[in-house]
Amino acid sequence: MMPSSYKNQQQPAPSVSSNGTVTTTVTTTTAAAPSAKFTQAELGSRSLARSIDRKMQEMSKQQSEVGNNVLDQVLAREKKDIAEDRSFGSTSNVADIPDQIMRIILAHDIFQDQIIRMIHIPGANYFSVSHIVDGVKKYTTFSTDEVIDDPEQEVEISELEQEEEVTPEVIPDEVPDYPATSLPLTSTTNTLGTIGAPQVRIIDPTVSEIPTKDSLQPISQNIQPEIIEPKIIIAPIENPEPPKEVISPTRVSLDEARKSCVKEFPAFYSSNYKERQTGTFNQLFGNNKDVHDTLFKTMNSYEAAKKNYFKEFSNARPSLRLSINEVRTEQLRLADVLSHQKHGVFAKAAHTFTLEIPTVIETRNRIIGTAGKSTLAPITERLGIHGLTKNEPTWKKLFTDDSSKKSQPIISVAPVVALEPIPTTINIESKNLPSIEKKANRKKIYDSLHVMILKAWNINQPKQNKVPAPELIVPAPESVIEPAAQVIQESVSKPVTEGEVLPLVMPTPLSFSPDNKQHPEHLFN
Amino acid sequence: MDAATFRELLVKEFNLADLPIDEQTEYVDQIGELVLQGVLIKSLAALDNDQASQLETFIDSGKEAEEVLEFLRSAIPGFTDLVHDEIKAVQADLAASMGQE
Repeated sequence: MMPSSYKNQQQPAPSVSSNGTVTTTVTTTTAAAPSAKFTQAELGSRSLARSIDRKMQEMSKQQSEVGNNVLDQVLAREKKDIAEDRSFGSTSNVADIPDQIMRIILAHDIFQDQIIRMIHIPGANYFSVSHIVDGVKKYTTFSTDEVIDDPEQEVEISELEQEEEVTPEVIPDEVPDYPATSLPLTSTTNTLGTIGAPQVRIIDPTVSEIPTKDSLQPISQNIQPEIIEPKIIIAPIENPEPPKEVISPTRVSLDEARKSCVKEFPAFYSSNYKERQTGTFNQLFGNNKDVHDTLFKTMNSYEAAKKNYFKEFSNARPSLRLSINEVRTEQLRLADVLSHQKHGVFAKAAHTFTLEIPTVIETRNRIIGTAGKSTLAPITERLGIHGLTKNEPTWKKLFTDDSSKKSQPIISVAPVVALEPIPTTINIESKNLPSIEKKANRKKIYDSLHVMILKAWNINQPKQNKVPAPELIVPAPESVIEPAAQVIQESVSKPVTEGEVLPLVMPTPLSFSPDNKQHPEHLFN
Repeated sequence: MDAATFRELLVKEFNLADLPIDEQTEYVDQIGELVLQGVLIKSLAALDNDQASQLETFIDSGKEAEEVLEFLRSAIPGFTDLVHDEIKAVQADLAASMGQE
């Protein structure tokens, strides 16, 4: 038997024309397809090879399916881890977005079908999502650290914790032992932040083949301990509240009484000490305590509450210093309540009187600076002249009115005593008495007096002492000036009786100079 | 009552006689400040709003303590009574807080 291929290769037979001439017939043959010449054995081996190839493909296919399952399991684990180590990259595939990131995106009302691409540089704390909003592409950036409450995850974690507690030995057995070589396959990112697609294509995963969370739940549960471990559940730190100050009931009642008497306080003191048209309260009612109590009930309750409080305070046997401080504090509490109505006058007045008041009252009343006492010693003490100045405390000024009254001299009207001068005879010697001019030349007198005064006081005088012109000075005639007493005696000729007004006597100027001349210079000796 | 009488009163009331003079003076000064503070609080309560604003202007113009007291004396006729009553009140409060009542 000839093989068919051999038959096809036979030469065609020459053709003879009908006229008896030999014609050359050109026979064209088409080139047959080259075909290998195989023996039966060879053909059998090729068939075997094809079958082996087929078998290998089937086996590789089966192997790839197994590989996909492993990859899916690894991916499922890595999808949880990846959000925490921030090594994931950008992706356009929604399924590749880590769960944590997906939760953040969904929490911001961006749905899966709106997402175009998730952009993230591995290691970065922020990622962006380009998505469609009303037909417009929009980029939105979120933080990877954003905490999204996921009750399902919390439940899952709590369940796993329970499982972990119940069967702690089962967990390591169920964790599949992934080959070390499979781990690089799970890395879907590169350093540029793009999807590392080639490795995925080798395994040829499809989106539909990516297991859902539910299908992987048992596996993820088994792997969960590795995931939970780095998570630190921060328990809410409960700051221990400072121990509340125990306020005694008397103090509470005092506070309430103080607040309630605020409105009556001005009226009380105004009616007591300030004069009105109808008179003060005391002028109207005297010291009638019943009327007083009826009118100002809250004031009385305040006084009573204060008394009770101080009584309770005295149980601790405080020193005088502590008692003073407590009374001062109560005064300031009252001032604090009252200072609203007086526009900060109290703070200013206290500042004037250098009284210490709390800063609260000052700031409320717009007073800047504390009216505290300076810790430095007064300037007089620092200069060492403390004894020379008298620095009295301000409170003593309250009593200056009384003390000033005491220090003032007592003004009393002295009784008029009638004096009866004893009549004595005095011999008056007079010689060369000047005759009294009928009409005084006032201009001359003034001029002469002016010149004399100028000379006496050395005013407008030349430096050289010149002897004044003798023509200007008229030498006074010598006269005996009698003592004033004698002149008085002479003028009062009749005795003064009781009831008469004593005449006003002007003393005549006297000169006690030894030469009986009026020289003003001797006054300065 | 003058300052000396006030001092004698306090020394007697609170048994300060045994203390050194400096300490006596310190206590008397502190109690005196209490009285002054109380007088100021109650005087301001007695003033009406117009007088209070006048006093504020008066203080703002840089008046001294004596002048402020003069203002209060002129605005409150019973100022001396108020001072005396405040001395008694402070004395009573201190006595109550020390358990001397």
